[in-house]
Amino acid sequence: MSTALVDLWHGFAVALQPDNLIWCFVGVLIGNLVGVLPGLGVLSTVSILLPLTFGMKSVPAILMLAGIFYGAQYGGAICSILLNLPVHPPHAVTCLDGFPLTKQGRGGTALGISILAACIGAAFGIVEMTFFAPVVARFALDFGPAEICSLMLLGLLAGATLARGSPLKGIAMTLFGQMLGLAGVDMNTGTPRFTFGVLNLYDGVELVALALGLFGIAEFLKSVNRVAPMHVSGARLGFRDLLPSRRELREGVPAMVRGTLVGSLCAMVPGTGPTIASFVAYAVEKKISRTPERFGTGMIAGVASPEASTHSSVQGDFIPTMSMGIPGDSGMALLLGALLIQGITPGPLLISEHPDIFWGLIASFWVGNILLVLLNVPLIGIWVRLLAIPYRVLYPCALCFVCIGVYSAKNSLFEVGETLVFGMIGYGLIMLRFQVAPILLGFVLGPRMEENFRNALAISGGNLAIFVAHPISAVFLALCVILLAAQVYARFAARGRAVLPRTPPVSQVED
Amino acid sequence: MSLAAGRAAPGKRRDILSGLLCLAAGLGALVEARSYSIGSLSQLGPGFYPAILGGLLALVGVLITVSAFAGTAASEPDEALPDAPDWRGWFCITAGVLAFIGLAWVSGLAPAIFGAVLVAALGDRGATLRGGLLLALGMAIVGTILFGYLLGINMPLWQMP
Repeated sequence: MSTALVDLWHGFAVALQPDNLIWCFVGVLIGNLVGVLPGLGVLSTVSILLPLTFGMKSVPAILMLAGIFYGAQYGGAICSILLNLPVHPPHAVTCLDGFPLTKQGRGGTALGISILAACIGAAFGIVEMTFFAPVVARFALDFGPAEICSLMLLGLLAGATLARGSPLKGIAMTLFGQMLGLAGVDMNTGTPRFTFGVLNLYDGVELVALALGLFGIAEFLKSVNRVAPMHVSGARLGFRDLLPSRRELREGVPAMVRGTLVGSLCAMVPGTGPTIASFVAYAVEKKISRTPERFGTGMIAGVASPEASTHSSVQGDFIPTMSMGIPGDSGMALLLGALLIQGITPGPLLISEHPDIFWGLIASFWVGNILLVLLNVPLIGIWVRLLAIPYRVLYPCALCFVCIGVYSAKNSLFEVGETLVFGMIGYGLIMLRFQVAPILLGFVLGPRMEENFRNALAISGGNLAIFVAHPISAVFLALCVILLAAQVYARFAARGRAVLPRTPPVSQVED
Repeated sequence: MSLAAGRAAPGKRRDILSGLLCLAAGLGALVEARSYSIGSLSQLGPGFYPAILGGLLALVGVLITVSAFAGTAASEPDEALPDAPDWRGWFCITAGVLAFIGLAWVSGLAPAIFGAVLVAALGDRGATLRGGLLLALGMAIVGTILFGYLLGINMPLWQMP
């Protein structure tokens, strides 16, 4: 426990170096910006900036990319509360009570509550990571290929089935993603796979091209001419409007604590990102409330709890990624890709081999969150005014950033075309109601899973029983089975019953 | 009730199509994987894992199709997505990316940004040529300064074909 604090002290020394501090600030600023702007996603922003970090040192690169993730969570609530636009999935559920509060003229209070909830949630998530991640890493040190393989399977299954939408379709998408991940020359034998004779594909599918196709181009294709122009009500918000009254605090703070706990629990389960955490928190809050019927009419708790949950889960999500090398959702898969590109192998050895990155990252979470509060509380009026930028201006600019970002990944125009193809595929999949996020998870984990699968079987001399003979691996596989069984049960038990609260439709077409 | 049933019909068709697509992709991968060496269990060849993936994808495809026929709605109609794409936006966004590739190929970064933004911007139904030109010009200047000079992108800024 005390070693963790000493290490964290060292981490602050890293995070407060002027270089690192500036990049952390850049990260949270960009994150906050894209969080506010409807039509720009966190994943596409990280993908655009990813190639730019190739030339950077690894510590500032990771601090900046991580900053985008949690910075975006601060901005995302603004859109939900003031405009009823759930464009950022983790904040979709905040619309339910946030927007009614805006209609009552209490939008400022709702924003204030969401910022306070963010602080509490994030702080708890960071503390959790400080003390918990090293423990997990020590535990994971004993993992052999069989354990890693089973754990990855669990992560993939959870990511595919616990996300929103059909579990079967989610599994299909992780399988598709893994195939894309295998494309290129096989490391062990030199056989080109799934390249169809295209020489540019021998290096494999470019991570940036895939991510920007699925989350950039496909998103533009889906949203063009479908995002209604914004009419921001209460555009003049100042610091004073944010302050909640004492009664609102008494209502909100316990909800924040409950939301925080839900979020940190969700962060432990691989595959459940902040979106699920926020939905679960809202459902819990409604369940234990004495007045559940008043949810949806502007309850403070309905904003406080999911917001706290989102933030604590965003911070906690870093735990499996940084301590075991198993990302919990597509965003963390992207960060894992960034680490790999920097030549750092994420896994249980990361903390001891690269303490600068791990502890510097945790310290930068504290620094970044403080910066975000400073950015949001006094400047809330500026962020709100940004909402008025129309989509027809945003998407052509974003499109050009996408093209340049992909080009700079390999300095090749082939990848730009690749992005376009993935964009079209992604659009088709979205139209067929597939969730595209698990593709990225499968893409990043697929090759590593195959490698561990091969190694495990090489060790056991071709005996598949190795996966159940090792107790830890057997536990992971048992969890996979339980997960699948629970999905099948839920399908037949709760047919037609909505488990999660409904949110307003994402795209609003104006006639 | 009749409304719900009316809505379920396209969902069912969509799920059947999704399932068949997965089946086809899975079988395709399976066939492709068979052309690589499968190897033995103690020494897996490059084709083994892709073959498993392909087989599983085909199986999932069958399951999706079957559950669509059985009427257990696999996809929630929670997102109000339109069924037909917005063709004008579609065309202009696709053409915008192609314009970027083509112009970057022959004449460098600044014209590529200008062309991509202009073409993409025209995809909006409310777009005017003047607005598009202004936006494209602005982005070309900002982008060239940001990426060309500050971040040093590896592409000529401007060259004659």
